[in-house]
Amino acid sequence: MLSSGDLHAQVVSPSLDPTENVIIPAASGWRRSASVGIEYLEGDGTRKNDFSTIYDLHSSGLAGNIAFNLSKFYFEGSYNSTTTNTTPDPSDDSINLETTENLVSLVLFGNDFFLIGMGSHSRTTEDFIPTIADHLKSERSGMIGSISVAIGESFKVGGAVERIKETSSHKVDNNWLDTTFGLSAEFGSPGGVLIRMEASSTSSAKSNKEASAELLSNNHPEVAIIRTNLEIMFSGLLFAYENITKSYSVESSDFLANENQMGVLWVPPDGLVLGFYFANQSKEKTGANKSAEYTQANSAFSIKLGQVF
Amino acid sequence: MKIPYLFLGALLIWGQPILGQIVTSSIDPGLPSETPSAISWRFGSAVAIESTYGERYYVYDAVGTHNIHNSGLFTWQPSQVSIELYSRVNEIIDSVDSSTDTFFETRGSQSYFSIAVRGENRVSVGIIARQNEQTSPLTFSESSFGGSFSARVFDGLFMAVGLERVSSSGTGFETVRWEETKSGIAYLVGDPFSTMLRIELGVSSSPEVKDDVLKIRNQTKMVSKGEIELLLANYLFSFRGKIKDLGSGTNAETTRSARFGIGYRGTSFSLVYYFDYGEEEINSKIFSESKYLFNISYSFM
Repeated sequence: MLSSGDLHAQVVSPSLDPTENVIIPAASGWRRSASVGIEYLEGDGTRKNDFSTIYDLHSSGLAGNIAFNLSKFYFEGSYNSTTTNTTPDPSDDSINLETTENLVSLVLFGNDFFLIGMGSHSRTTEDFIPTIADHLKSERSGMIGSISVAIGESFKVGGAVERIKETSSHKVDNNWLDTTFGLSAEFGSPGGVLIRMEASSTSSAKSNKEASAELLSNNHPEVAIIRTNLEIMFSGLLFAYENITKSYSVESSDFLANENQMGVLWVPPDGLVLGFYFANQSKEKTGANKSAEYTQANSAFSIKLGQVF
Repeated sequence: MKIPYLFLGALLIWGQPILGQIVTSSIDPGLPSETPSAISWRFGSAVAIESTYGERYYVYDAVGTHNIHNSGLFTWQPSQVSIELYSRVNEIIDSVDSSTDTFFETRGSQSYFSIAVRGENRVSVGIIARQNEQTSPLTFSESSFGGSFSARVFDGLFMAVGLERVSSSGTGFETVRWEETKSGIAYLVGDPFSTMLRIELGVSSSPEVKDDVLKIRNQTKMVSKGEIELLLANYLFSFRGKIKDLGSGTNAETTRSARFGIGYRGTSFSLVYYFDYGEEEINSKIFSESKYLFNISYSFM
């Protein structure tokens, strides 16, 4: 959850941390138990250009997740909100000040080998945009369709398509398609040593909308996100690692964002879940217009409390 | 008084739960734990009160014996879940003003809440919320939250790692934040109600942090400590050596202290007396401190 940008979550199968949410709704159907969890985070960072600090960033956030099933009907809901405290600089690129994300997942049909799920996803953001010298409020909403398939006892593959519509205070409406694919593997048994790995890719299509008489143009870049996870659990102690890389282009500049997150949690078969995560994030310009001096780096720490039923 | 501002962060650290355990809790049920996962290794629930007196001296100044603080501890361990509440009130710390080589009084309070879960008697994970207040000479507030985990590597050998995120704010000052890391190993053997040996080595550190006007609000800190406790027929003997390095260059200071403890550790009531002698070295000058600590606790469950 430590990112203010993209959901920290599992894609094809649920995390061994039962209070972590999943991105593709069908994956909720692989959950072993009902759970509820809350998480609080704080983070710090800087954005530097030409060796001078443009932004000192201080963020705080709250997240929650609930998952349960009634027979074959699986429900999951998650909330994630991050606020960044900083002084906007009109001479620099845009800066995100607030992000709130909600995801509701339903598994409509499934058996032990195949699941179909759908979900509703919304994300509201408030950014400071230097070109308009104002705060831009945007809302993205989308419906997700997804499937997940078990291959043998250890492997799962899955995919999802999300149609996203964006509305904002200063820009024309826009819409585009996100597609996600992933593969996960899990070895061991609950109660013993359990190892879970996952790799997934999300691609977001480019979509540019011309300005209208009253509103600015809305250009959504092509975005590629790769997530990899490694989780090891023994004696109820979970060590979780996740890496996310995100690449995209804005106005002829290529950006690469990278994030590493590690967590340590106590996860019983039922009862109290608690633990903590820490993460490091970086963002830099790459490619032809590479600027070695332009970097944004954040570190964050969070604690989590939950319950498995 | 240029030094008091410079050392604002350090003042609270000087008074932090210096008796805290990092890996496993003390055999003395009345001592607090510095990391949340350590409370999982307690030997039952307990309630305790503690009172500390102390004095400081230097060639040109001295502060006579006075009450430094009183504290209360409640730790509850009904099952695999443990919680701990600690509060230290009316704390009076005699800090050094190195510009005049005299002592000045700092007042404050400290408290924390920890919760931890122990699994299969082999691992523990915990989280903590801590609040430190400095009320004089300036008002500062230091709040932090963090987490830690510890594991029994072999029969009696434990290791622990923890991280705490601190936010420091004061009227008229920018809020600054930093992270403090803690780690250690411990060895435990025996029966906590008759004969037991406990050894612990721990390290905690935090980086230098400056505010927007480049004033140092938290100095580079490295605390190393070693502790040995021996319980013989319900009589507890303990020794702890600690070295704390603060700052660097002309701001550097080193505090070395040795604490000796002796007392009775019963199945219900325990009474332990500690004597702590420390020397704070600043610019090659030695400022001494003696502390006398009385700890009474009642164990149950």
